[in-house]
Amino acid sequence: MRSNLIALGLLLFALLLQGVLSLYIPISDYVDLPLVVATWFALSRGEIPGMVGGSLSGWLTEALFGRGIRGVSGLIRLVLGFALGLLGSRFLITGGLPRFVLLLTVTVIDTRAYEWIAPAFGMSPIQYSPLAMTIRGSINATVGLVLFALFERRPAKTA
Amino acid sequence: MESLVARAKNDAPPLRRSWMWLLAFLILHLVAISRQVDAGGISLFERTVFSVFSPIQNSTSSVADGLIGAWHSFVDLRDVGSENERLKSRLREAEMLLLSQRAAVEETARLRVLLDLQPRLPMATLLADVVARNASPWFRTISIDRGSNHGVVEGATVLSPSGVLGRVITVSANSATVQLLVDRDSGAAVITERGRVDGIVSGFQDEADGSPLLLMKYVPSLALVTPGEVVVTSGLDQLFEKGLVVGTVLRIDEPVGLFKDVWVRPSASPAFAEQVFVSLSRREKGTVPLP
Repeated sequence: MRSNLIALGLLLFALLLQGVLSLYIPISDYVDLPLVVATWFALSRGEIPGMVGGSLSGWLTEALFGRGIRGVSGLIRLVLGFALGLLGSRFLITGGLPRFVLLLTVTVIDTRAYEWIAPAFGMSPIQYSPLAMTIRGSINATVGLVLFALFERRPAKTA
Repeated sequence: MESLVARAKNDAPPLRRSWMWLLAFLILHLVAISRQVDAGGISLFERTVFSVFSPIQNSTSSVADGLIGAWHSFVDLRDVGSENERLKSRLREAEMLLLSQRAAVEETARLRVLLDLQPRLPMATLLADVVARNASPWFRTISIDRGSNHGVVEGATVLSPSGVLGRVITVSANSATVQLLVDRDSGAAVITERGRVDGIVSGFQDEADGSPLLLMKYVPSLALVTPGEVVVTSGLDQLFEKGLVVGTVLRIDEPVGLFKDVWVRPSASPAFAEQVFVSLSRREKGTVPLP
């Protein structure tokens, strides 16, 4: 329970940090901190907490920074969180490269899925080119790797 | 160290139950999204999130702004010290330049007055710079940078643009000492310009403020002298040329016996004289007008 609360706290902190940093640097174009936290949460806690975490991450992001119909990102991350939770509960994904690939894939799926679904609700999200998508995914994955390492430094005390 | 990833495996729920949860959440999401399509506007959830997060976001932003501002201030401060020294140095140079230029302007103005005055003096004169003043309270003298080499002779009258200053008492090759009219041992035969009352002036000090004054003595008790009247040299002493402005009557004492004392404020202030005229030859022409 405590680790869930910590994860929720981290998610809220990531949202705040993303918002504040966006004031000074175009971080949103390259990094999605709530998605990274949600990914880590799903991988470490399993499919149901992963679903909740992913959904919350999407909903909160949209509620704070979105426009038009809210919930699309929450829906996408619900599914992503479930899938990542399943993956994490059945495989130990601790290596740098697998995690990088996983984070890159998650970023690409999240972004592409939103680009695909959002127009159905009358929204016109930014369409990333394959190169821009790769860059965005790579940077986000790199940041994710660093954050994963930070999150897992003191799990024994927080769990 | 046991990682969270590893421990998560022990808590994994049965797969079938998980799928049920996913389905339930999916339906919930779709309902929530559909409700927005129908209702429009801002949902309660959104309002709640926004109202909860806004103050935190504001505070966080303020803190971030403060930190960034502090960092910028720190970075700026690194150069402030050396820049401050450089600016101070430049300010000192500018102040010195300003002072010298101001002095030059004042000197130019003074010289212009003197040059305008020189042709109107009743005698041939020589312009001299005051190079020293006697600081002793007992003597009132000044030194000038012109001497016998320039034609200055002992007893020559020394004038300022305002009037008589004194006379040369010592001459060397390139300098001379001038006894001022306000010296206690000085004396000059004078006459009031309007009443034509004769007298002799010598130096005194004002008892009230210590400023140099002239005491006009041997003024007949019945003579008509009024304050503000101009006093000029009479030439009777054979020391000063006739008609040079000495000063103005300040006050008249009550008569004692046959005479009364008349106090005269000297028109030429030796304290501020920097350039003076020294007479080279006598040339009777009348009163030198005040500039």
